[in-house]
Amino acid sequence: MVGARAGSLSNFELRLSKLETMSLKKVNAVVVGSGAGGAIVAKELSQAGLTVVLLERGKKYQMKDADHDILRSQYYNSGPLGFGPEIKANPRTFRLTPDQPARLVYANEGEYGAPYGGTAAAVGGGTVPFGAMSWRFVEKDFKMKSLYGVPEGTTLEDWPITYQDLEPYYTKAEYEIGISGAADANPFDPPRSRPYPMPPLPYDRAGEALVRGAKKLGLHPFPLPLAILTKDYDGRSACVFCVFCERFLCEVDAKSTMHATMIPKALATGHCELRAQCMVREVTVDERGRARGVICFGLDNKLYEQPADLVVVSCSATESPRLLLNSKSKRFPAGLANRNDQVGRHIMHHVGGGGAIGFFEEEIFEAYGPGFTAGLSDFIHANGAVLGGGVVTTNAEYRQPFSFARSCGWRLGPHPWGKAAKEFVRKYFRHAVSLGSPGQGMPTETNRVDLDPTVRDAWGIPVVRTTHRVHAMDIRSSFFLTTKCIEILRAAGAIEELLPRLPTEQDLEWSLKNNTRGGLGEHQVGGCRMGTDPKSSVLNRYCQAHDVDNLFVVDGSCFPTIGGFNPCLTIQANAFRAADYIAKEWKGGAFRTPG
Amino acid sequence: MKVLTARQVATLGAIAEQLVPADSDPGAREAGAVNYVDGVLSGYQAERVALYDAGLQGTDETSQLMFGRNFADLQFDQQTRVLKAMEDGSAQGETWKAVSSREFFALVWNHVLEGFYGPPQHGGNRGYASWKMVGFPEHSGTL
Repeated sequence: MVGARAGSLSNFELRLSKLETMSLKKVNAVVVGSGAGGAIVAKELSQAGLTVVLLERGKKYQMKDADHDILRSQYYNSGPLGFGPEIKANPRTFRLTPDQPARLVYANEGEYGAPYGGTAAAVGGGTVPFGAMSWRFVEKDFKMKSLYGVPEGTTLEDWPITYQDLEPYYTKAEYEIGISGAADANPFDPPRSRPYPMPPLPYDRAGEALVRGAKKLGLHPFPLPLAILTKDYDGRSACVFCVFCERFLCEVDAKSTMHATMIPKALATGHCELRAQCMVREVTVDERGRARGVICFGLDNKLYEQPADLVVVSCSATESPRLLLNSKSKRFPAGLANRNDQVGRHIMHHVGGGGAIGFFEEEIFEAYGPGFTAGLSDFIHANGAVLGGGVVTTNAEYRQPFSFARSCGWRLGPHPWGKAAKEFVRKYFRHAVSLGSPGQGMPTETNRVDLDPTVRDAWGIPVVRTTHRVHAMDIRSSFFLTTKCIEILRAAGAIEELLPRLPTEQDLEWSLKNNTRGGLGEHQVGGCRMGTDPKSSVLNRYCQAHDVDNLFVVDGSCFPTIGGFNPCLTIQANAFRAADYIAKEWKGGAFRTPG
Repeated sequence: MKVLTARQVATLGAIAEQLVPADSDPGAREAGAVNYVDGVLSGYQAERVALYDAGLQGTDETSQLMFGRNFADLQFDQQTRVLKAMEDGSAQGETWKAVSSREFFALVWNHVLEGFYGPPQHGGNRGYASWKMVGFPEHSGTL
């Protein structure tokens, strides 16, 4: 079955074997995907003197395209997603466990990309609409197996690097990208060599509520580290405090996205070429099993081969494994770099997250600012309850009238509409504080992405089939963190009758017994994890494929653990580190392919 | 309207009024939710026309079976009962053997909320009715 491609080619099934492939001029590096990983590698390599082609399946959006339209935004919609992928052209399938049949899913179902497993498809990737949270992992996130062992049913592993290995690159990322924050405000922060390049956003009223409640409970709230400029920086404008941040394109480029930061710098070198709306079909290999380049569709739907000395795959934790699995050859019949059946495995998400909304007598809503300014790390590891834990932050999920109206349902009984629903929205829209927490998801034996056996996208390429069900620890995390969010709201003075009741032991037991939670979303990581043992990993500590020396996978798919934090800054820091290695090796003569 | 017939406009308008009724602030019908849905069905969700055709017909069928009249001609409380049955999946009628009343209800609910609470450029939220109601800055909707 083929999804329909928008435009003139609806229901056009491409007969791939009959299409000729035109070969393009060879470059030193081809980077597939222009998100948090790929944009940084393209910029670093082109600044190091390599010729680079950066391919992106999505469109390029610019400030002038910003429209404040919640119905054309990202992450939740029944309509078209503001920042891709095109809905009908890009179907996928999903199932909880391998014994179930997989069902068709589209990118605009559900919330925050789940269960489809979407981020975005745009120049700049998920950083274009994201909520800008920019966290460092803590030291323990890199050695969870050494600390905790391997819980039953998980495939928990250590990273092949330490926090100290990554620290200089966290700092580099914060300065090059433009991250605001307060270095001395979070007692649980890992060590850092430099403060943030600029101060954080001031607390808004919701943030002040979290601070008030947290302090009452003896917790340690602080202003959030964000990819949002609080002063003019690096030629870009500081935040102008519009109300449309997460899910939306920034109208002044104060959101430190890849398309506002790394990509212009890559292009400015004069030898990085960005090609948008270019769907890559496969990575090709030569007779020695080294990467030779990629085959992609041009805007004319013709096939092109882009040869390169080295190939960097940066398509996201779902799309990078897909690309490798679709890259079959005599040497790699099960997909490129997949000799040990590790590609697509150990995927993780924050499905174990918790959250709660509280309502206050006083007004909370302000008609300015992104809507998320405060958080706390007290429940990161050492929380006495669950493995890993998660930060707790305010969020802007219900700060748009439409989003809020859709969310009140559970308070209003089995028929959440009509007069009572309208009155609730009218009365409480301006009085809400929403807290959330991305609790760590465990990697498991069966959670993976692979290729659906029958479904293809509009280009005729086999699509992602996600098999994902949360581990019991994720459910415990969700309950634990939700409980904490409710307690903080209560301590902050939220109206008692409108608070959710605390989850009970019976609720937890029921959820553990009837586990139907699953699906990756926009925080997806894993799928091509780094490790020291090729039998249980795809990449070495430099994101280099164990089996293919000139193939790198640099995005969230290289993570062995997901952390209790939004993953973007760690993807970016790691991309700087991998790019550093690639550039050094290149200068020493590595990766060249003849011809 | 581009897609919806006059009869469908009346039925859908009555459903919209049930989902977000008029009181001291406009309801979804007055605010143009039907106009919004017509735009969706003639635009990016044209494949949903079949579900709307069947669903609106089923709504009338259930109304006839329960109260002897079409949905738009029922009393307000009778309409509420019809919709609750559809939402529960317990609504009577041949239509619902081929089409899920739950799926239809969920889609209409979603669309009406979009049409009532979304920005006006899509055909609903006339005069920023819902944003005025909650105090969301109207000028922020377009740059």
